[in-house]
Amino acid sequence: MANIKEMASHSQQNPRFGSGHSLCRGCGIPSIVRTVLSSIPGPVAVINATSCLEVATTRYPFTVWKVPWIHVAFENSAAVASGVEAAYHALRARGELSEAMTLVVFAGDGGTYDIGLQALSGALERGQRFIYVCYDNEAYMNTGIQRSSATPFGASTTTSPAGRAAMGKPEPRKNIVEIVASHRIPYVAQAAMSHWQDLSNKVQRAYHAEGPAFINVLSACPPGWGHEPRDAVLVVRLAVDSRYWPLVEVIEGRWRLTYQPAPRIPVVKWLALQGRFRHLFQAGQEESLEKIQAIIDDEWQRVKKRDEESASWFASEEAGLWDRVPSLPESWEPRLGEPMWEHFRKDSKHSNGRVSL
Amino acid sequence: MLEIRFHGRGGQGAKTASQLLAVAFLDAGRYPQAFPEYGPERSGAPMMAYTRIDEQPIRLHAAIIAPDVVVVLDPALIREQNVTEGLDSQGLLIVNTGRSDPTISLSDVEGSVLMVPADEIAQKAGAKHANTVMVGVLAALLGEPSVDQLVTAVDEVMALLPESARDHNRKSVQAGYTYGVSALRVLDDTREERRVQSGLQSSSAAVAVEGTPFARPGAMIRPDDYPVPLTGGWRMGKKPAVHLDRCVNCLLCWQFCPDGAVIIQGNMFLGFDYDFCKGCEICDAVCPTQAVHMVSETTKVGAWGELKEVPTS
Ligand SMILES: Cc1ncc(C[n+]2csc(CCOP(=O)(O)OP(=O)(O)O)c2C)c(N)n1
Ligand code: SF4
Ligand code: SF4
Ligand code: SF4
Ligand SMILES: [Mg+2]
Repeated sequence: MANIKEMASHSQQNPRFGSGHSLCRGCGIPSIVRTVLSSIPGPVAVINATSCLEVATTRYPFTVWKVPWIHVAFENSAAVASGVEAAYHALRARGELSEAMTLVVFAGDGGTYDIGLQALSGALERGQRFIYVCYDNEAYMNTGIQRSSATPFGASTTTSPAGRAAMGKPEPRKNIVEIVASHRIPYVAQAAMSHWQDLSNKVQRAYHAEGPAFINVLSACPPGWGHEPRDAVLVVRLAVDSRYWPLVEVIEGRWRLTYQPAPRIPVVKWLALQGRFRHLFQAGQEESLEKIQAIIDDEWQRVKKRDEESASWFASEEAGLWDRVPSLPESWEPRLGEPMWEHFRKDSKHSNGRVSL
Repeated sequence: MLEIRFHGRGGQGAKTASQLLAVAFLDAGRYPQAFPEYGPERSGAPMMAYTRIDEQPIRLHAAIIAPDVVVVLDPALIREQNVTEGLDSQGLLIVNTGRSDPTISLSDVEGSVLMVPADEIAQKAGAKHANTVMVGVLAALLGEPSVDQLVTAVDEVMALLPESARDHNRKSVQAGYTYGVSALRVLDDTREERRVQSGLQSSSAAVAVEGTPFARPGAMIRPDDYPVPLTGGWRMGKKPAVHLDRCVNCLLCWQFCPDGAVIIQGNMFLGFDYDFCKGCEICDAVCPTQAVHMVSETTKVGAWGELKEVPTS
């Protein structure tokens, strides 16, 4: 697994994402993008949904991307990635492309949980091979902080404002990891910008997956969350340590926690750092705070139970395969008609240059 | 038709300034139009806002490319954008000397130039931003709208702000107007020289105002086709500096810097790249050994921000 020094040398040898973008002061996105791209060996192409990342990195005629990059629209990045994959196979078949490459999708929570969900679901069901990274800043930030289905209960946004009639968003957030895991794809994970080593490990496992891989990464957004830019890393770290944001992965349908926060930190510590929850600290809002803690505790119990259920599998040799040092796949052919992790298993026995048991 | 182009950064109130002026002109019986043009709308990112004024309804809804007046809310933008684009010898350029940078040169400008210490004036009036000062100055130079019309427009455009903020902006628009009236006299006297200065030595130096390179329309863009925009101008008066003796090369600052502004070589931390650093302070927040310090922009530091002595504060 790549450590920070390896990522540093990777990104010096293969710069993939440069400076000069106009993401906000203190934005959490660039660190996610750099970590993801410097954890992948070999050539990469990026598919980007409309979002802060897309808009702020490609102000015509400039680009900060040093890898092939394509943007089409807000709602269809998984479909675009499917098309790029088809083009990749066509070029390989015609002998016009000699190198194998990894396709990485970057999309926001709006572009993933909401408007891009059907394109994503379709591509997952088809077994399209890419690493889909949702950077989750819990709202539509590019257009000025509107609520999305990733916005947590109680957060104030411009379309779920805190005021006399309501106390921020009345609905809890959607669990995208469960939704994606229901597609039975080989690899699903949830990570956080603060925990770069965990994120890098997950990207490398996603790279192994012979089929779609999905990683939901908590970002930070100083203007949207209402905190100082300098606190960006702290805020995300507290989201993890308060158990609001469990770091999990789902390999071949088995769930596990990849990080055990200890000791237990009450979620109010995390909430109190952010302007979007300020209204919950008024007198009379105790119930909302309790509800948020209850949602988190409930979720944690569920994750914990799944983690325990799959502990023996994760101790097995089969699971150990996912921790190999990745090497570039020599062949990467589309496979149709079988559950994806069957392919993975088959490959691990055949050793097509990637795996040796 | 009178066309005014405001250059500012997201968060400096260029859009509000353009609207304020338009609303006051409406009150003065003109047909106004105002709208902003953003790239990505980010606090700190360069953006423009336009105001058009006419005696008849305005049918044109395009960006202003040949302005009569250009108002620059942040002098550092002069490095990042061609603010005088389309301004001819009849034109007027008004620049907030704000966080002034002596290396900025306006010696190529053909029209009249007025430098306004608008940050200072705004601060005295208690206002957060220089935008309303600049509108006051501009109205005085144009002779219209009146200061009363501007004050009424402040109340209308800023209706959702607290009364104290409106009060500060009423004061700053008035102070700007007063400044404009006195500047007008000087401007008239020196019409021949076409230049009025206060504060900033615009002739002193060396940075040419260069336009954005023209791109091939519709073509594929390769990473090094065009130099990327520098984002160092986004800093708000503080920059990171490092006491290298304390640095343990953990590279956490590099990992979390959003702007790729931490310079490393191999596994060694070297320092900061001020061309791109936006001053978010994350490097300071994550440094485990307190090697990083945020210092004032004017503090003298060595190459890449090296500090010889650790600040005591
Ligand atoms: C079909 C469509 N609807 C709306 C928009 C406007 N739009 C652009 S980005 C965006 C929000 C993106 O939110 P998210 O995916 O969470 O990314 P973020 O901006 O938070 O990075 C919206 C609504 C669009 N480009 N296309
Ligand atoms: S609005 Fe938030 S997500 Fe978007 S660039 Fe700014 S900090 Fe980043
Ligand atoms: S203040 Fe530090 S972390 Fe922020 S942009 Fe500058 S160098 Fe990077
Ligand atoms: S975080 Fe501090 S100690 Fe670590 S590399 Fe940066 S300056 Fe050095
Ligand atoms: Mg978002």
